[in-house]
Amino acid sequence: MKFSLQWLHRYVDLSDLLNDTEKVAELAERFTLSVAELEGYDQLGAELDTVIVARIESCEQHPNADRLRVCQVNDGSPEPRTIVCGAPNARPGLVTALALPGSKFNGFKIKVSKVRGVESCGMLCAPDELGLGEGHEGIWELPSDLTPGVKLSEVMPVRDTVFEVDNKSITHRPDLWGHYGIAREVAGLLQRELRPLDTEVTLGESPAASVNVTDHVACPRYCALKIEEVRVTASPLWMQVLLYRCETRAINNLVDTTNFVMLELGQPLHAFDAREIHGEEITVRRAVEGERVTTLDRQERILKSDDLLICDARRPVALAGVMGLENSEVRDDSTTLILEAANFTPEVVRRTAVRLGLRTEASSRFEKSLDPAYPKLGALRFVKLIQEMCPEARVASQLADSWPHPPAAVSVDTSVSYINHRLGTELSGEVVRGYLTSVSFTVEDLDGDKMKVGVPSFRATKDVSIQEDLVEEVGRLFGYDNITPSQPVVEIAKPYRHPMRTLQRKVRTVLSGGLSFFELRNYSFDSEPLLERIGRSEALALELKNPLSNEQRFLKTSLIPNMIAAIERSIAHCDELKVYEIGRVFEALSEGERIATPDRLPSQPFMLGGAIWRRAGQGAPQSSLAGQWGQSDRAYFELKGFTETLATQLNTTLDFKLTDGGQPVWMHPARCAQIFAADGSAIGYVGGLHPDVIENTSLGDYCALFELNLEVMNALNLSYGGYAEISRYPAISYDLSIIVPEAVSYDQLKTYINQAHKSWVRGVDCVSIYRGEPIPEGQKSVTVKIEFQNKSATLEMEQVNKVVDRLIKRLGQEVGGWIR
Amino acid sequence: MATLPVDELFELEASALEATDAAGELESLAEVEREYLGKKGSIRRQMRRLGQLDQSDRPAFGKAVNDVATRVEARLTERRASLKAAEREAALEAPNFDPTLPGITVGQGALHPLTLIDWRLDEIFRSMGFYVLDYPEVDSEYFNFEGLNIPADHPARDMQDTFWLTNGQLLRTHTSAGQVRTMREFAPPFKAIFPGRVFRYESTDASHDHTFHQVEGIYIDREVSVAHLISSMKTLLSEVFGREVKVRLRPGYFPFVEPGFELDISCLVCGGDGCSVCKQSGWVELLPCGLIHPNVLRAGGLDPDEWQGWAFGLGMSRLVMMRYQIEDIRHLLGGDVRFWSQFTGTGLE
Repeated sequence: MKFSLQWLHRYVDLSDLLNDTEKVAELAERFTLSVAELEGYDQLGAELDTVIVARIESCEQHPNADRLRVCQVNDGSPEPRTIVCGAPNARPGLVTALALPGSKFNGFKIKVSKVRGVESCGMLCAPDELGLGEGHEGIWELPSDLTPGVKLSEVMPVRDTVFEVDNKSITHRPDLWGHYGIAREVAGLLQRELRPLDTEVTLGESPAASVNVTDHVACPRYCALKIEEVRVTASPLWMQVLLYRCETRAINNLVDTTNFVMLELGQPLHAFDAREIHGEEITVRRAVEGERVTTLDRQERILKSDDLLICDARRPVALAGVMGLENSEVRDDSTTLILEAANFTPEVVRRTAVRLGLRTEASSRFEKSLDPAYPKLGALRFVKLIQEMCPEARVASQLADSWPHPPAAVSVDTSVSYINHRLGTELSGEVVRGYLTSVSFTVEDLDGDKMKVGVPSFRATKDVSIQEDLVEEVGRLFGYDNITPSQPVVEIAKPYRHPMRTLQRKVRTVLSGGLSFFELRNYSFDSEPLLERIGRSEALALELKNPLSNEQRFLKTSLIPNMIAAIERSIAHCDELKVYEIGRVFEALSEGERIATPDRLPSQPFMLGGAIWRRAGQGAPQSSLAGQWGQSDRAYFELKGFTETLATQLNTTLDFKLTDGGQPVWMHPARCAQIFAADGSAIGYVGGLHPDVIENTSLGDYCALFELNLEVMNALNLSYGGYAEISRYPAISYDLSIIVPEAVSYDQLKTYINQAHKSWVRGVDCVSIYRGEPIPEGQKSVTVKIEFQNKSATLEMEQVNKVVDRLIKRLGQEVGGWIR
Repeated sequence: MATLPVDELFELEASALEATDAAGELESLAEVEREYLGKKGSIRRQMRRLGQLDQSDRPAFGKAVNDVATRVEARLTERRASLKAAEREAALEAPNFDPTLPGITVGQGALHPLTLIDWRLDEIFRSMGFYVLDYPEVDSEYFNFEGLNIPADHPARDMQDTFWLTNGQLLRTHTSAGQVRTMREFAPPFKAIFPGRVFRYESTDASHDHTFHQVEGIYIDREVSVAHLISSMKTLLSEVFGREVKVRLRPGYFPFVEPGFELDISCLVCGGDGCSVCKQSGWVELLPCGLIHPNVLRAGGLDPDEWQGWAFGLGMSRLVMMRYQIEDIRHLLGGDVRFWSQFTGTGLE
């Protein structure tokens, strides 16, 4: 919201600030530190000192230009001044604004110069050129009773400072949505007197129109007045300029005065043309579902039953607190008005305004919980101002005032010591009381410490109700800068380490450190076009009611799709990539919980996703098994190797089993494994890309992905497994080539080997796989290196041979294994 | 006495010595040794002639052969030593070796800059006795709003445009959503921070994203004052920025604190003298903070007559951008390899 120094000056004497840049800067700083945040301020009009009132005496066609005229202008001196002017409305008798030679504004300088051969001694100006009003066709048409020669600044507030306050910082201060409230704060800050608002008006004798409020919760107060013999004219210049500077367009005296009172008090008003108001009763009621009205902006609005309407005997005439209706607006020939000044409940106004997308100056003020004392004040203030402009205007009626339940005065019990404790200060009672009374609180001193603080009505609607609020009042006026910082006395805290954060730190250390992965972070939404390309998981994705775009309306159920997108974005710039992300994914616990509000949160586990990609397998590591593999296989095993190392570094193990078919859609259904944690829980999958993904993305063959559930990992005991004493007895390394059917996995074989002896088998490693002559079709020869060791005695070869013989026998019986 | 048949022997000696001197490396020298002095070497073979000699001549010829063998052996030993010395000389040289060629590496990993800052905050705050926690990103209206003294229809809800789920839950708009959870989880007094991802329904540009990171700080104790808040923030922020900063509080409105503040720090660029970054004011707006509102304490199950607290919310994404001079916030979550690959530190600064 913008506010003007000249406007404030109407209520607090600020004459020493009007022309003093430094004092303005000081006020701005104090306001920011003690009241609310200023976005900034503009000092305006200082350059307009050489602009004066002038009257055009005569106008002649310019001899050399069709569109220009040569005017003789009365500038207050005996001799007329010649001005060349192109404005269509330049005419004899017009009183307007004249910028004298030497004037500088809007980035250009007025000089005496020849215009097409005729000397022009200044420039006649339009209000927008001077920054004092809206642009019109041509030069400013000033009131004809102004005296030529006087400075413009003598007839209107030309020089001013306009402050812009951050609206967010006054959300809680309904009193600061008008100049009078700001002036109250400024008066408090500068220790100056705040002049009372002049509302002395004479009301009429006739009974007020009756007001029938059907919902006092939605409309706590409704005031109405009938004003007769009003003449619609232009507002006085001072009002036009002040409104303009506060970004409000001047229209006519009636509209301008309702706006002026709103910007003065914060109280929105609405004027109806009495000719359009039927009957003698105004009704405030809720709308009927589906009721249609046309607002002042000529838009038809379809209402809901919680919208509030102002109605005459026949029809709605205003959408309460938001906007008047077209059917009853004041027109140029209006002479009798019904003035509305009301208080509406914030929630009601807010809901209507938000739903209709119709946030008006009025609605945004009502949303702040306005002082219910203000409607009457606002109505009287309107009358006072209108009568200054149209002395013949008179209030025909008494004030209709429906206010059945005025709120009780609010007071807060507190104490000087409490306030000092919360601030960390040692202010005296007198000082504390001084601050509070400077911004209109009343203070009743009870015993030198305890006090009863009366909250003024304009602060009591929502803002101030508890002691803490008074702590803020005293603190801000004392100045937080003046508080001496002090360290709290702190007890020694019980140590606590967040297990999930600790796990994540370990994972990141291993992957980014030893294993040379890049950590990336992606958004939490899935991209529909991407899922179209790579497939969609069956997880119950949570959906946004208000997505930024329809393409990103689901929360991601896996880290992988966005990771694929990130790799696609990156591969133009590198030949290999190893990336991972730790982040939450989201899943509804049931279809019902996707739609109706459950009393529990959805599943949102932290996952670890990882991927490896190489341009055509470039630089892939060597392995004795690699000869068997294509690109996709190698990518799979390279990534699997990293997950195995990660598990080892985390003091745990992962088991890779043939998939149960539940692998993610973007994974190759065969070139993948389901992963189990050391406690047997399913923890994720690792796999190469599904052929469809290879076809629909730019990733190519050498790419593999994994995703692990870190919540499962976090449930494991990840402490160091324990040191094993170094055996004094030698180990025996035994190479064995076993021929098994293709369907027997290495993992199965390994399990048999590990079970061959309960304590002697120390390790198993795969040396090579061979297929072809002389191995029969459908079988493979797997060469493994087995390490045997007895921890407590020297192991003899014969003992090992017996174990191996038993193993081969068992393999033969159970899976059809044999040796040549 | 017949003349001893030594001519051949001496010829052999001469040729052996010549071959010894000619051998250029240890291998050919060994060959020479084998050829002349090996069991079947030509000098050893001379011994076979003893049988053809008179008995009386035999000792002299035998001695002559042994002498020749000894002399050749000595020359071989000498030659071997000199060849070994030359070889060691050569081994100390590495012709064409360029030690400045790039090393063979396993590649270079990197942490995300948000992680780097997260870890730094973690370290600082934990060293000061704060718990470092984590709370859900999808949360209920209660913890994000009601529990924080922001009832339905409160205008403050406009300050944070919210992503709503079709089931009525929401994506948390601020890490403050964890405040009430913390109070319910830990017994006071305690202090904690909780960094994390937050969401706002708003359009994006270089300095705004719909998803960004904050860190919330909360301190609960029996007696907490504004003076404590100022002092704590000054200490904490000086540590975060790695240099002494001044702080200043201005009134700020946040329904979950009372009084509420906007906290400014002295401009890090000019140190408070005024520059273009701080718009000549010497101060830069950094974070909102305040004393926790009694309604929020109550929501957390704490009696406001017994317990008080302060809280702050720091823009972590902004901190990352300040620390690493990142010009566009959207790099943080939408970056590519040219972004991620730059943050190769270990995170321990």
